[in-house]
Amino acid sequence: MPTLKIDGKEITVDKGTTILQAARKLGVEIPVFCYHDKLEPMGACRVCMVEAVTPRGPALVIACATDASDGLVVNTQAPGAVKERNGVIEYILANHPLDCPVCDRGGECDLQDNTFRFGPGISRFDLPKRVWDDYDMGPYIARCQNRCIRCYRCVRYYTEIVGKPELGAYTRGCTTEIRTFNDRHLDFGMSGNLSEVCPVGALLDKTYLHRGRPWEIRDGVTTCAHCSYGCTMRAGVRQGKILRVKPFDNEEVNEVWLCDRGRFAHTRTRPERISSPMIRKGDKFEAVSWEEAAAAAAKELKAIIASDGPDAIGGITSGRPTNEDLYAFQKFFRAVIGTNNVAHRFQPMGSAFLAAFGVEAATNSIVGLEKSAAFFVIGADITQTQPVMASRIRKAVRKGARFLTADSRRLRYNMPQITTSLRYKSGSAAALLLGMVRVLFEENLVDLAAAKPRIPDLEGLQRAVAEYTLDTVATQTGIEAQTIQDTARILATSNGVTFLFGEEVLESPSAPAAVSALVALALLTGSVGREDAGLVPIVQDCNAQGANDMGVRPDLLPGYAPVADPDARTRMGSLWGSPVPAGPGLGFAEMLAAAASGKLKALYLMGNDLLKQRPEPETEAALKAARLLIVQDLYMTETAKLAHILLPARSYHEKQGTFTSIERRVQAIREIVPVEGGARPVWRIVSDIANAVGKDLGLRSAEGILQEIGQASPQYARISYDTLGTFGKTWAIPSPDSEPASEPVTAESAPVEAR
Amino acid sequence: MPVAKVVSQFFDVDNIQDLDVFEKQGGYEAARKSLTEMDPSSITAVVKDSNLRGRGGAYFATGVKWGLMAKGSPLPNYLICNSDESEPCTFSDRWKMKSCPHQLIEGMIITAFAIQAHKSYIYMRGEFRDCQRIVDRAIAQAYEKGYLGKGIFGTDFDLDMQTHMGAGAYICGEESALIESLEGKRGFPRIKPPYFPPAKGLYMAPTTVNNCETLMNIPPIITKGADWFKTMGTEKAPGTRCFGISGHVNRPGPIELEMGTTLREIIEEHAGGVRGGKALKAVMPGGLSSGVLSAQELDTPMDPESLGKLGTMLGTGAVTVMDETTCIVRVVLRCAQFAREESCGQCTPCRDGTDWLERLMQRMESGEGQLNDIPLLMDVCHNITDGFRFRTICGMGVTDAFPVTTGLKYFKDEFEAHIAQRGCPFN
Amino acid sequence: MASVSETETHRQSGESVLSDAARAKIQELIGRFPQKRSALLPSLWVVQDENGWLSPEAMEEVADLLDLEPVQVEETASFYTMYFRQPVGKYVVDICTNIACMLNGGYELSRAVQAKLGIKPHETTGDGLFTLREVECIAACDKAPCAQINYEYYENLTPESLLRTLDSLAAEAAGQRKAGT
Ligand SMILES: Cc1cc2nc3c(=O)[nH]c(=O)nc-3n(C[C@H](O)[C@H](O)[C@H](O)COP(=O)(O)O)c2cc1C
Ligand code: SF4
Ligand code: FES
Repeated sequence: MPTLKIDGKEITVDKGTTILQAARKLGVEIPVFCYHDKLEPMGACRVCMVEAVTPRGPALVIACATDASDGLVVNTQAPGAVKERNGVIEYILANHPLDCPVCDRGGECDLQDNTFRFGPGISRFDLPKRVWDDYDMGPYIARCQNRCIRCYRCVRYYTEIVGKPELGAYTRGCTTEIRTFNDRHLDFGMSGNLSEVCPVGALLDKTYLHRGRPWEIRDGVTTCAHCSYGCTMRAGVRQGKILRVKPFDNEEVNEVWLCDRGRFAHTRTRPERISSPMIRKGDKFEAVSWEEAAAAAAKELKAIIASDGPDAIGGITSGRPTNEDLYAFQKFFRAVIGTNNVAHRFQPMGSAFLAAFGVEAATNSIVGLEKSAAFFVIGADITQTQPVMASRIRKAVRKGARFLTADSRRLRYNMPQITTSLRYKSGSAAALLLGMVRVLFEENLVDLAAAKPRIPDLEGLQRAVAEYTLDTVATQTGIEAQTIQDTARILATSNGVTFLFGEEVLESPSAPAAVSALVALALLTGSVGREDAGLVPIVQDCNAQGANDMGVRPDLLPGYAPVADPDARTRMGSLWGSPVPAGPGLGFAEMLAAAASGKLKALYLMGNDLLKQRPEPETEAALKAARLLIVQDLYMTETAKLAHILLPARSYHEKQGTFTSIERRVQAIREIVPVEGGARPVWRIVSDIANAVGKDLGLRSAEGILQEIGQASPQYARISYDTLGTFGKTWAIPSPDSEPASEPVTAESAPVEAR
Repeated sequence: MPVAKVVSQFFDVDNIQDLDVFEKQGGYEAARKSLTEMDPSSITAVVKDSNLRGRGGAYFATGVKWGLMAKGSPLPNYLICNSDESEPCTFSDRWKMKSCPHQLIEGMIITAFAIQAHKSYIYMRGEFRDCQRIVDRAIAQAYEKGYLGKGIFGTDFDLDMQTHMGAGAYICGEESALIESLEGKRGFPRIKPPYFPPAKGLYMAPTTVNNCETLMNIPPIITKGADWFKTMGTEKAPGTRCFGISGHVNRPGPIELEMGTTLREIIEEHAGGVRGGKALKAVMPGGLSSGVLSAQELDTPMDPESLGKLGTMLGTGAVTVMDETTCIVRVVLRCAQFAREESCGQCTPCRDGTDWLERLMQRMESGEGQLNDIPLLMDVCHNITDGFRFRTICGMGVTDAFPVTTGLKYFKDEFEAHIAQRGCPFN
Repeated sequence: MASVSETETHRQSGESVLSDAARAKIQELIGRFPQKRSALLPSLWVVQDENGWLSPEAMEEVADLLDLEPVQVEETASFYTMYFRQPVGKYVVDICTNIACMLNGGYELSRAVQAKLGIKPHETTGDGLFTLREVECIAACDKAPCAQINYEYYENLTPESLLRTLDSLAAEAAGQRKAGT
């Protein structure tokens, strides 16, 4: 470990640390332009020059790309270095327009800041400035080439982080400019990050163009709700309106990135918000008070309970409400209505995962992805659905990790290299996976000892895969037998594999079989119980993980306690002060079917536009058949239009709560804009209906609910708003020898087995 | 001093471009000897001993460079011949390749064996289509004869060789830019460290880049030995240099002479003196990048050390002579234009500094210069490079600044005259 | 067939702007290098020698063949002055104006051509016959002033000899046109 001196201060750093990084550790400021923490150093701008004194004498070196070596003496204030920095800044300003007053980056511009702190203070350049014409790069990024300082960060960002070059440096020398191929628009995907990657106002967030000054904006830090990855972001608010959204640096999740879906969501035009509770009168809605709405709902629900029993009522939600809302929702059905008919819209994974892990959640972490030696991505279009995660994976692949994929679609992963890419016939993912399990057994490439504790019936599994011979699987999947065999061997010989499985696995009828095969593959290859490998189900909704954790499922109570387990029911019943119904509830699809056949009389939909998600005529028929349809939503969706009672909801910028991300990270969302139209929190709405029914749900605040969740679910035992902090807390998967879900596992110990 | 014959030893032989003719002169014997009787380290030792120094312009000891090749790399080694030759007023590589392509190929076979490379490229500037045709034909003959390809001279040594054409970019002569270009990219020089070619070169693999003339020196050195080589040239820079003489002289052209021949001898004896009986005013001793010297320096021996002492360099050994009618401001302006045109655009000082320099020179030449422009020119140059201590990624910084700084060193009065007379005195 | 390559297709239209021969040549070039991208400069030469310039469509096709993004091809092409990203004349006349040629009348050559053809450097004549450029040193300084026409050398020029050459090229082109009709 080299020890060096910077401006008289001594520091010892890891080998491979640059002078710049060492200086930052010491709080010594060195200006940079082309250097970016997340990109390979290019050393082009030359503004970071410092004097380095080696045994061979003093020399000016670039701090950003020169490694700290033992005994080095660095002087950032040496006259030569100061002069050089002044020179660089003077050169850059020579052709830079002085249009700071009309530049969006004014006040948060690296060039302004570096000029202010390190610049020469004057310019001797008295010639006309070079100018460029601009062109339209699409709706999200505005180009102002005159301001470009040619740091090449944007170009490198696309190559290194997005993996798909879209911007290039054109021509050369002082005429160099940044362009897209044939002046095309930038793709919607990861383009928004350019507005931070660019150190000046050359590439700007077009949706924010000339709309605000940074000092007029108050930033609200919150969690993105547009996929399950859970990026931390800050929404810039002025006068109650979000003007822009930027990433909030979170090394453990999104680093410094956001995808365009999350960043620009607030700019999309939306249908009109539902302004107050409403009750259907004929084919019209009539605005009513919250009390009237609750009373009406309660009256109908009571009547149905009386005539058809509580199991004639059901609730369907999505993976988008907060944990608090979801918890309140399921508690309402179980403790107030008395039914287990409550579900989110995703299909359960099947029993193998639960049997192995006691929970349904990723077994490793986002940070762990970066350390993985191999990835196997199946049925998941990660560049589209979780682009920021894809960038994290790309980092590992850049460092040499193997990247294997299987999908029925032709997908682009934008990885620097792909080890193997399989295309299976639609619907044959399970066969492929089972076939690969068989190869592992067949060729004895398995780690039985590691697998045994998690797969109780190994022999059963072996028997089950026996029929998936290479030839059979080759026929079913359309992939050559040899390729399947080779792929299985690569997985087996990698030092742990991170298995990412997405929509084509999870949303298929054969999900249970496919997931059981994946669990087996992960266990047999020794990929579980470590940070750098594991099983990662790629669920879509931002809080799909929370929806499972909260027991928004007919078969599971909060904390993955089976409804069928009388002890679990007793425990939950005593917490709630109300018995938990024993009868098995209906799942999502079953509820719709039961509604259509008239068995289910009342449906309460929370936060999902079912007609949009399932446009089939059966959905509409089912919703129309219900005697009572309560819809709670932000907007007057097509689904909402069918409601008998319509309840306005709060957007996720208008409430407090938590989401649980793909890596079991419980993160806060915050009230950052005023509530529109008197919408109320979910817990309040269901509590009011409960009151009108004559029961007390016992929920008084989001904080209180999170506390109760901690009592109901061991995973959340030590999670509270006080401990969440800015970046949230992760809960851990129990180790195989501890009784699943019986012992509280804390964020601090997460993930238990990886350590 | 008489004309020397090392690189150009067979240039006068008719049809020496044919492999058979070349062999009749003893061609490929050095390669045969190297592969069958010597090993990589003994070849490197001879070259080190000869103190052959790279003719690309930096005069770095060739044998030492070969010894820097990273050991134990999992990636294959590469050899690249740098025939980009884009330094203004430099044309002798074109002469060498067209005159005797087999000597280059032979030099490359020996070098590749010494550094254990099995793939080699000759990177030529895109304009050299005439050279490419000749070299390609010679390569094809060598393949046919089994001197390239698998199992050369019955050994187990394999070597592939091909020409690769640039497409108009001076900077691709800089070795790391050349490598980027060969990888199919923009010619952006790489930062060194970490991207020293012998450690992380082509495809991040250990790579030796040698100039065309350097490589053509190898066969004679192997055949005749290091001691013979050291009888020529200076103590610190043995051997010869292929000078290329251009400008206002009676007999412009390429010529091989011993290192250390004086400028005066080159111009007056070998190039027949200044044309039209005019007086000599200035010389660029080693290509545009070396800047200008005034007539008072004519007795300088042309070797790296002697020119280094004057604050300039031997560079490419391209001697361009300017007579008394030449406007130095005009010449410096044209040099500045070249630097602006050819900067790759990575480094701020080189990219924006050259733009500024050219525009200052432009207004000087057009009579709008201000007195302050002279110290300003000097300072803009200084912020690009302080002598040979360039503040940029690559040595282009020197090319950017030297014409201006040397012009001001020797001909400051002419700059001042442009300002005082509000125009060019030569118009 | 199961394995797909990463960037199998980004081209929208199926129409090829490259001839089969050019595509085959590019495939052959790809095979000569350890990494596909190395074939980029030679491939662009193949395309330009065939089509006269590098159209966006052609560059996109090259990108496809080399598993690159189109922007990588275009930005690379734009770095090198010998590639044309706009259509040029049938004959591209590159006159060296760097020092050795300048000292020997390079600019005079350029001015003579400008006067004759009525164009400025970097312009093309209305009949699409000639494009004139003033270029940096082309390494024929002992035979200054010199030029390249379609990247072949013309040395020891005088304004008269160069204009005569242009005349004969124009005549040649006219002959070809006639023969074509
Ligand atoms: C701006 C610049 C241009 C260069 N151009 C050439 C060139 O055209 N030919 C060449 O051989 N070396 C050129 N060089 C030097 C090369 O970088 C490299 O040092 C040389 O090819 C090494 O060969 P050698 O050791 O045989 O001299 C250039 C260097 C710089 C900085
Ligand atoms: S010094 Fe000039 S040519 Fe060299 S890398 Fe820097 S900008 Fe490019
Ligand atoms: S920050 Fe170091 S060179 Fe740009």
